[in-house]
Amino acid sequence: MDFTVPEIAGGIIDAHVHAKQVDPWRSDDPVADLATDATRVGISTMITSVLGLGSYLATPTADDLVVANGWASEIVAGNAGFAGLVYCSPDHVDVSLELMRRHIAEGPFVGIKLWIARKASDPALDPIVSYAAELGVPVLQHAWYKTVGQLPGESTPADVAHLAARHPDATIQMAHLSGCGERGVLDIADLPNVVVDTCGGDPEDGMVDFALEHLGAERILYGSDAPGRDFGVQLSRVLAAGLDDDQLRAVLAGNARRLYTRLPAVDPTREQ
Amino acid sequence: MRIIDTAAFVGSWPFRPLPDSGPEALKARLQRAGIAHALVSPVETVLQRSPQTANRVWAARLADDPFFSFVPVADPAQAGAVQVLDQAEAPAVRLLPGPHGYGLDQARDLATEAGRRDVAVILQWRMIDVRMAHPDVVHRELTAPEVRSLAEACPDTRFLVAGARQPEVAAVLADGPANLWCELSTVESPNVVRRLIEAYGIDRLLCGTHAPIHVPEALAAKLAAADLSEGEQEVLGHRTAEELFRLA
Repeated sequence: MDFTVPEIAGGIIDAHVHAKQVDPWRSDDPVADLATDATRVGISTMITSVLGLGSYLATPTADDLVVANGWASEIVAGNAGFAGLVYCSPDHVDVSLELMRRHIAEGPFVGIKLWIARKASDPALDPIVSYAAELGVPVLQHAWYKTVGQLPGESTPADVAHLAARHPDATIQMAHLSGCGERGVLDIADLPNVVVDTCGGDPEDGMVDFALEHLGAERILYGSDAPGRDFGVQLSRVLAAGLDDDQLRAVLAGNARRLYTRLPAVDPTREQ
Repeated sequence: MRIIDTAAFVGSWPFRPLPDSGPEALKARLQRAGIAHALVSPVETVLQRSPQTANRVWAARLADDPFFSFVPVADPAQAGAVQVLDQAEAPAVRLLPGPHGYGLDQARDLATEAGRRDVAVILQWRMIDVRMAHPDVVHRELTAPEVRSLAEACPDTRFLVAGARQPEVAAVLADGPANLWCELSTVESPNVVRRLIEAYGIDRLLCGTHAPIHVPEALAAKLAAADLSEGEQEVLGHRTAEELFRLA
């Protein structure tokens, strides 16, 4: 039994990674372990946010945001495989905007992350998303349709659609294809500024194919949600889908390079 | 690496269309994913109060294909459930306590009889992540204490826990009864197979895919991350399954 990953010029880009919130599993450093596991399956770049230290902070304080993004900054500075997302909160707009200025406008980060402090349909997000659009960086917005009930402030894909309609000049990466489900894909199908990443729960068969049919390959990004999930397992659902070679290259790297314009350029002829 | 898939299903999944749920397509898909043999149960029994009808249909349909070992589904809360054990040459019987709405304390008689007949019992922890379940069909999941209690009450019966997460596997296997095994289809975290081997021993773990609901290729990704030796591949891939299910 082989697990073969196609060679992608410049390497695979994982558009949905977190860091720092788990115990290490190969060494004494979870960041190093992430890098090791990513490299093993051909991932060259992890677009990464830190949502807190030790645990994910759903409603971070302003100080929490500063500390979490400071850790993300250290990871990005010390590890070539990591590209940073600024963890923002609409509960702390001024601090979020300042962190975006510091880490994106004047730093190396490539986008922002919004989790569950408030729903995407809440206008409190608007200054943050407007600034992301001004900077030309994507917004990774958590989303899920949960049978068991949403968390307080947790967005559904319908909330994401509301956000995207308010900000047609912003690029929204809706997280969690499987969590959003078929209904979630259809919610954002008519909004060309929304793309979806492929993670979100178990590697259910057919979900990437559904997104391919209704969104097109150019609106699908490989994302793993590691280390809560596994790089390889989440890759397998992409590799198992009915993508041709061009579509596969787009989902595994090309789309992320097109949207995350602040990622370092690669020489496409360079071997990994 | 020869792989026996101990956690596959066949038939129509009632909640959304799946690419490869029929027997021919499933077999081809599993073989492409490196599976040499698969134990399969009829997935439509998830919503059927009497699984025996589907058992009979699928047992007959798969009888001539040596790629499959058919595993009937039983509901021990129903009268006559023990008749499922009469299914010819079935290596195991699968219980779906969540979908069928019973507690494992109701499964003791059936499990005891299975042990007496040298038939293994597969305990399905979950069929789907409840967060994404149909709103009208949110099934109860098993708990480690009830699984261990059943295994302790039926010491001569071999139990495979299917569809459990990594913490649940840990709760079942850590200092648990020796007649409990777990398969790998729904565990997922970095290098999870190696970590489970180191914690609980390779001879307590079996391969499984949860196909066609999950992509079977995910199993290969987990195994690749573990850097298994040839001996480990043999044990995890097929030998434990052959012993547990008395497969030739």
